[in-house]
Order: sequence, then structure tokens, then C-alpha cells
Amino acid sequence: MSEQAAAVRSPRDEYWAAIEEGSLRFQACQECENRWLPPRDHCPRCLSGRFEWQTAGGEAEVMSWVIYHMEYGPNFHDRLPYNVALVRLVEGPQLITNLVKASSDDPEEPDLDSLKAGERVHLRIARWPDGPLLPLFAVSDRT
Amino acid sequence: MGHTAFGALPGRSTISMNVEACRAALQDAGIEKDLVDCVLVKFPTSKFEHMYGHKLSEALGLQPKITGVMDQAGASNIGHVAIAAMAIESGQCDVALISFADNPKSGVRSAYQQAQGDDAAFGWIGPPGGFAMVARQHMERYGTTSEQLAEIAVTCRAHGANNPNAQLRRPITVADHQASRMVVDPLHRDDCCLVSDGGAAIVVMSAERARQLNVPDPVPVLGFGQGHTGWEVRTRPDLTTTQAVVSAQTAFAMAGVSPKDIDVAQLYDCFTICLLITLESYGFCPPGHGGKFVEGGNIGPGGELPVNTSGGLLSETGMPGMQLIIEAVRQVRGTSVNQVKDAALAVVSNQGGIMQTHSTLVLGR
Repeated sequence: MSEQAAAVRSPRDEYWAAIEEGSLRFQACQECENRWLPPRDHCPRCLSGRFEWQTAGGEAEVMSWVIYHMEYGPNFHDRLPYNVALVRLVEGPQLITNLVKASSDDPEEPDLDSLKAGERVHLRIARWPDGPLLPLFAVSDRT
Repeated sequence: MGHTAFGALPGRSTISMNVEACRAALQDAGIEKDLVDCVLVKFPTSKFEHMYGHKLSEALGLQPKITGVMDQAGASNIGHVAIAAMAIESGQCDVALISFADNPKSGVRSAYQQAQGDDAAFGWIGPPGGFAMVARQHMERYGTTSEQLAEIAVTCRAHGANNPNAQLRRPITVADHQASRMVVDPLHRDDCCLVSDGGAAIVVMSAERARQLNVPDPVPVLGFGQGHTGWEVRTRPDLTTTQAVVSAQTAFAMAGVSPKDIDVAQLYDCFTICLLITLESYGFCPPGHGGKFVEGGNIGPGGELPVNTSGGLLSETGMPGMQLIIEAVRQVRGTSVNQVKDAALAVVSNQGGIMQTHSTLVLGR
């Protein structure tokens, strides 16, 4: 993609368009092989504007997570308490997400009492009620 | 140095609070305002204002050689001390006023509930979530516990209880901390700093000028440093360490001191985990040992390293950082309400964002 074209449809637009189509993509530099998220015009390692989109396999590990018990923004009251997690794709890029139950098709808040950092989670592109499609990650059901 | 009352100050503009703090600082230094030729002030965190340094200069009736704002969020105050010191050293100015004021308690608070870009769609909103994410990784990696974080809150609240100017003067126990409601797990309410109105200011000049002007009890700036992690939580490969390490090394090297020489520390405690990681980053204990370090009164009176002797952000005022510099000045002067005996060397940390920015100041004689 040329730098001029990027101005017409931003990498951010491209990223969310792919999510709408059901795939999580990240950027890969064609000069230095760095891979990154969130989307941006230039490789943050070598500053090249030449990148390609690659599709994530969907495997990630949990780096950290929190559980909101207080409402900080509008629209989240009904979901309290809800989790927010930081995950790292096996391909390298990291992203903020919500962890969801593996066993249900619609996103559902999982029990995270026994979760450990480093646990494997799996991509599930889905939407919370009335929300946009989001890259969520399913955590194995607790026994 | 000088400051306003801390707490709820309804009806006061940030310019009004800055002017009051500057007037008090000039009185404390025993100098006329017309000697001031440098005014540095960060715009209020809760409401961005263009050319804020110039607005304050107008309210102070000054046309300084140097004014302006360096935005390092909560690290700005020490950042401004460093700029003032370098400007004075290179002959660009003579006497600097450094001030900060904000009114998030009575005014707008939206900056503290900021959505983090597109990630707001996941409910990733506000500083408590960010610091909770940092705390969880520290707990997972090192076994740090919520009870250890509580020790920090207990210490700061005990110090604040002795401080007549503190906004929150009710001491707590570890059990109280554990019983306080969960805000963003793993952080309880008592892990989070206050939201406060108020202003504070300091005067910076050369030692020679202070002698010429007969400034009573000036406190020497021995060293300063900065280090900026910059990256947001989502892109940071490791949440448990930051460029605070570089900031402290730079300041300690400039001052020619090491962590073991420090008598008292005023460490940015917007959240308890922030102070704990700063202890590690500064070399007061090895990485991962912060939890053990804060146990058993080690950071309280008579401990190895008394911290936040006026109560810090958790108890004195939630203002981002200037009060910590002022308390370090009091400790070196020997005038703190929780005075550390023979305190000669004090270190101050300032930081901003979710540990994106960091600055360090060493004061002493």
C-alpha cells in the first residue's frame, strides 16, 4: 500500500473492515518483518510505510486481565462486573480484548477465578448485545 | 514553595488557585514577583487550555522571558524543574516560578474517564483499569498480594492523618483496605488516589542568587532525570517495569548518590501499585521484591525508607505531583509534620498516564 492510498482508507479502517468480515488481521512490515497492532501507517520499528496485512491464526496467550466493578463509561452498566484482558497473539502483536466463555455461542462473561497469566485463549469474533463485532477471546471452561 | 488548601474548592478557577499558590511560594522565598522571569505550569489535567503558561503570566502581571507548558502529564512538575534549572544555568532566565493547579473535584472530571481509543469498545476506560492491568501482571509474575498493596495505603493514610492540610485524614488498617469495595479487580477503592482541587508552586533559582537575595532556607536541587516508557499498556511487552529505571539512574548519577543514601522518598502514589513498582525501579529493592519491601512498617516512620510523609496522592491531595516536591522540601528543611530525623537527602518521583511518563528529583544538602 502506498502512503498516499493510506490517507484514503486508513489502516484503522482496514482493520475494522476485516473484523466485520470475520478475520483478525495485523500488519507485517515488508522491510524488517516486524508485526504489529494497533494499525498505523508506518512500521514502529523501521518506519517503513510498506506493509502487508496478515490474518491471525487465532491463538493467543493472556498477559494480564482485570475485572471492572465500577462503570467508567456509558453502556457498560448492564455488563458489570466485566473483564478486560491484554493478550499476545502467537504471531507477536498484542491487543486489548474481553475474555468469553468457550462453551456458549453468544459472548458470555467467564469465571476467571482460576485464570493464570500465560493461559492459551482462542479468537472468537462476536458482538456483545447491541455492540459492534469485536475480536474477543474464548477461555477454556473452568471445571 | 507554597500551596492552596486541598480538597473541594468550588467556584475557584485553576488560574485563581495557581496565583494563590505562586503568591504563597514567593512569600516563602521572601522575594518580589518582579524578579520572576520564567513561569512554567502544566495546563490543568482535567481540562486542556491553549497557551496556559501565558494566561497564568497575565494573571501574575508578568511578561517573562520564558513561559509555556511541557505536557508530561503527572511527570511535568519535575520536568519543569529540570527545564528551569537548565535555563538558569545557561543564562536564559534568573528566577523561575513553577506551578500547577486543577479542579477535577468541583469542575469537570472527564479526563479521568477517558476512553482509550477504539479499545473503549471493550470497556477499557480510565486509569484504574490501566493500573489494575499492571497490578495483575505484577501479582502473577511475582506473587505480590493485595494485602501488600494495602500496606502502602495504610502508611500513606497514617501520614495524612497527622497532616492538618490533608484532604483525607482517616487512618485505615489492612483489613479496612481489604473491605473497601473493588473498583477494578485487583484494585480496591483504597488503592486509588483522591480526586482533589488545589494548587501548589515552587520557586527555582541558582544557589548564588538565593544567597544574594537572602532567601530563607533554600533547598538545593542535587539531581534530576527523566525516562519515558511512552507506549500504551496494550503495546507494552512488560507491564511491571518502566523507564523510571533510567529516570532514577540519571537523577542519582547527577546527584552523585545511590538509593541507599536516601533518607526519605516522596513517590507518586496515584495507585498503590505505582509506588510499589517505583521502589523496584529506583533500586530500593530488586524487581519483584516490592511487596516484601513494603511489609512490616518498612516504609513508615522509623522504617528503612519512610515514604510519602505528608500522605501522598492517597491522603494529602490527589494533585499530580507538586505536593510531593513540596513535602521533600519540608523534610530537608526539617519542618514536616512527620519529620524523618536528620533527613538530608530526599528523592521525589513524578509519573503520568499509565506509567508512560516519569521524572525524578533529588533534593538535599
